[in-house]
Amino acid sequence: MKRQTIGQTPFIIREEMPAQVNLQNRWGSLLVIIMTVAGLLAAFLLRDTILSASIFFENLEAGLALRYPASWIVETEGDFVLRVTDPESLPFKTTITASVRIIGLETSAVSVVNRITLERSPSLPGYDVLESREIQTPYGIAESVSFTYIAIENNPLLQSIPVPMRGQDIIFIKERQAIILTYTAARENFDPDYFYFENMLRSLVF
Amino acid sequence: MRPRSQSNAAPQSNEQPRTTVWRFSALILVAFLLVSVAAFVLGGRLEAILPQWIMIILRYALALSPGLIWYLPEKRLQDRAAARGLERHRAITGITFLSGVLALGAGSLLLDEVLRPEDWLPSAGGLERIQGYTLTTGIVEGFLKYAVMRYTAWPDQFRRREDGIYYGIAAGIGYAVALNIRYVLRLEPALSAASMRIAATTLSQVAFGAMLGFFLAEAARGQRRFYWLPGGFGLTAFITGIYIAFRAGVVVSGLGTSPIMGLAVSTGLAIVTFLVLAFFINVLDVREQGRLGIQGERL
Repeated sequence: MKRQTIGQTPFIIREEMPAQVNLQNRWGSLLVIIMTVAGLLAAFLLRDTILSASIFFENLEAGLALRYPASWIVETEGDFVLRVTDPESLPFKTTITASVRIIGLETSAVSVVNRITLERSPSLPGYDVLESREIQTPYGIAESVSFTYIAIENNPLLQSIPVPMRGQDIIFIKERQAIILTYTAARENFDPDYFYFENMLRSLVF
Repeated sequence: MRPRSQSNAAPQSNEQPRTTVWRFSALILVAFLLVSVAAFVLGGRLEAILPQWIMIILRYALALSPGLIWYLPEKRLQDRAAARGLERHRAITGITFLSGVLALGAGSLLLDEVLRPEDWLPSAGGLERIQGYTLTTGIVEGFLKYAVMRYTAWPDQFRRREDGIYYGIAAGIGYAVALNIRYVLRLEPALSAASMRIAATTLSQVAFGAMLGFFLAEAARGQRRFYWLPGGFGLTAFITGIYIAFRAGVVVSGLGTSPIMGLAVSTGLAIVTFLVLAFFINVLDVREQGRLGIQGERL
């Protein structure tokens, strides 16, 4: 932009305004790119922080403590110590249940698995154990059981198609207690939501 | 700029008058708003009497309407300007088109496949939602619109501050049309519902595009420090984050949803943005004139 005077009248000749890609603008453009990359990385961090946000739970009577996802619905009344449910999961709620059973001194994890299978078979349509194996955990060896079943809505007012479900039990034996952590989710949600189960498992103290 | 007192000796500017840029942009947005409101009011009745295939065509026409309403009069305006010996705004169509292509390509990939903010932000707290939408939608959409302007028409076509607004609107409309088409393709919504969503998307994208255009135009004058562009980019992303978090809260509140409230928020955003930008442009122009000792009339 250039100032000129013709006669008594000052004016600006706009046609002469140069294109301004000066050093400041070059640094500015570079900073925008850096900000974009940094912002996206921060978004991933924030996502992980929000998704892994958890609340501490402790039950002294059962001798069990763990952390569950902050946005999930909590139940403590029933034949379990804790049950947490993801309210937003579709088509069927993803659920993690922690329960404790009193067992005999000689009872093995395999016996507990068999007992659970016998209990679930009549109540869960299509219940089938896919795999049962020992796994190494921070608390020693535990029994892992993968299973499937069909979830059917019992309320006749809520018509829905049966949903294929997948689940996994992790069974720890400690003295006369079997601590059972059970994860169930609709087949398509099993893998995406599995990290919730892993996080909860990692936080487990008994 | 031409001097206050006319002189045959003074050279005439060959740029389009400033008022044309503002009036044209305002008219386009009002025309689009009227089309959306008409679609909202008549949508239900048309669904009842027209066959399904016509409704599908109408949905896509509505999704494309911001681009059509913008493109045809804009082309005519530029042709008329050229006929009068005034300088054209160049690369407007290219910027609109490129912005749309990037929205469907990079924008869709990053937001719908990689970051997926709608999967983890709606249940988060208010501050986390603002942070999250700033870092995801704000950054991605902002950068794509910024990049389209920065690496095509900038700085040669950004001679005046109003040029930034004009190019920003073009980039915003291109981006909005792409989002609208994706929305209609995925959800196949009813015409009434689509009209509110499409209007809200378009107005907000245009407002954010104009913000980025303003910061680019100011940078093109070569008098700003290195933090001007990243500052403007960050501010736009932050306002995007606030807008999405606030709009979601307004649209889905209480026991039901209120798409009209969503449109009201978007319209408010657009009006406030343009008023604030017009104010700053005016102040900066007056200051510049004062610094240069010019008392001439602004174009």
